[in-house]
Amino acid sequence: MEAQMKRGFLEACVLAAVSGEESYGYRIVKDVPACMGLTESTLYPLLKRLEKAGCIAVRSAEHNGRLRKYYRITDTGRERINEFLAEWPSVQEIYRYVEGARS
Amino acid sequence: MTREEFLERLGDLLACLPAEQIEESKAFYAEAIADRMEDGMSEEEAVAAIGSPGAVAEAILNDLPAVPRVIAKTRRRSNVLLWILAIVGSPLWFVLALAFAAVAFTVYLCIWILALCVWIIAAALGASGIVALALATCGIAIGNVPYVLAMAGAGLGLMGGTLFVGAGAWAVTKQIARLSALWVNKALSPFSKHRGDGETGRPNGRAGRLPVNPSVDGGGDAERTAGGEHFSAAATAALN
Repeated sequence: MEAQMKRGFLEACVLAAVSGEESYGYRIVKDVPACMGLTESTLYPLLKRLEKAGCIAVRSAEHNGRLRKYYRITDTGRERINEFLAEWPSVQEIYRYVEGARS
Repeated sequence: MTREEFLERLGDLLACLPAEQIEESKAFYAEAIADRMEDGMSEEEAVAAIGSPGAVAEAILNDLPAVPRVIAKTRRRSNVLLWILAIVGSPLWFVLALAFAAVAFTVYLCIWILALCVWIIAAALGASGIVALALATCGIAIGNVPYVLAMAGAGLGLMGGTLFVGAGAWAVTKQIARLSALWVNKALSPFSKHRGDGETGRPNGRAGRLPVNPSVDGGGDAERTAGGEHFSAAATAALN
């Protein structure tokens, strides 16, 4: 998948993964659709970026005698998701154009 | 590879980063490995699933802004090499940087001089207007009515022109000041990572800064207006 495009998709996926109840790294990796091929090494910079942009809130909580970081979406993050979804018509339009040119 | 070995190796590879960032990265991967082991994997499998420490470190460093990234990567090989490159290359990069700065400064100065010209025109109109009105009052003193009317008309017209040009000059000045802030952010962009890698000029210092990184967290407005662009990945990718 094209790098820029994948980046936008991944971000939306991660935001979606933390938009219900809060989630943690490994669970996000498992939750995001496998076709995105999300790994921890991609997730870590992404989470930091989202946190810096105020899209997610982070808290540390104890789990089985160790600390685990939990992530939850913020209002800014929800806005991001809406912006992402609002682009769907233009993506569809491009898809139709490319598909039409094939035949 | 055991968990401890993995984390130690990762710490070594990230040695060029500030200590807190190294700790944070190690904690994140420690958690990832622990969660996999809880999920039923053996330690060996869990570490293998994360990938090699080299690839992990690479991913973290790749997310740094351009200039700190190059410095971090060069420094990872050798600090001495970085200094040698900087010193040996200095006759070249120093002169080039100086020339570039001089050109940029001159262009910038020219733009402000243009704005100054507009202000000068406004001031000249204003001054002529005042003189014309003063002459009109002199005309009253000598009782020459057509002269008074002509001078008062000219004076008021000139004052009107002053207000008009003055408003224009004010608008131009504001625009230039706004653009200046934008340009400063653009100029510092190699030091602070833009989202979409310069696709939109966004002054957004990203996570993971090196000490060498001059902070440009300013331009809040530009940042917010550009916010919508973020997910346009799909659309822009296709359009570009």
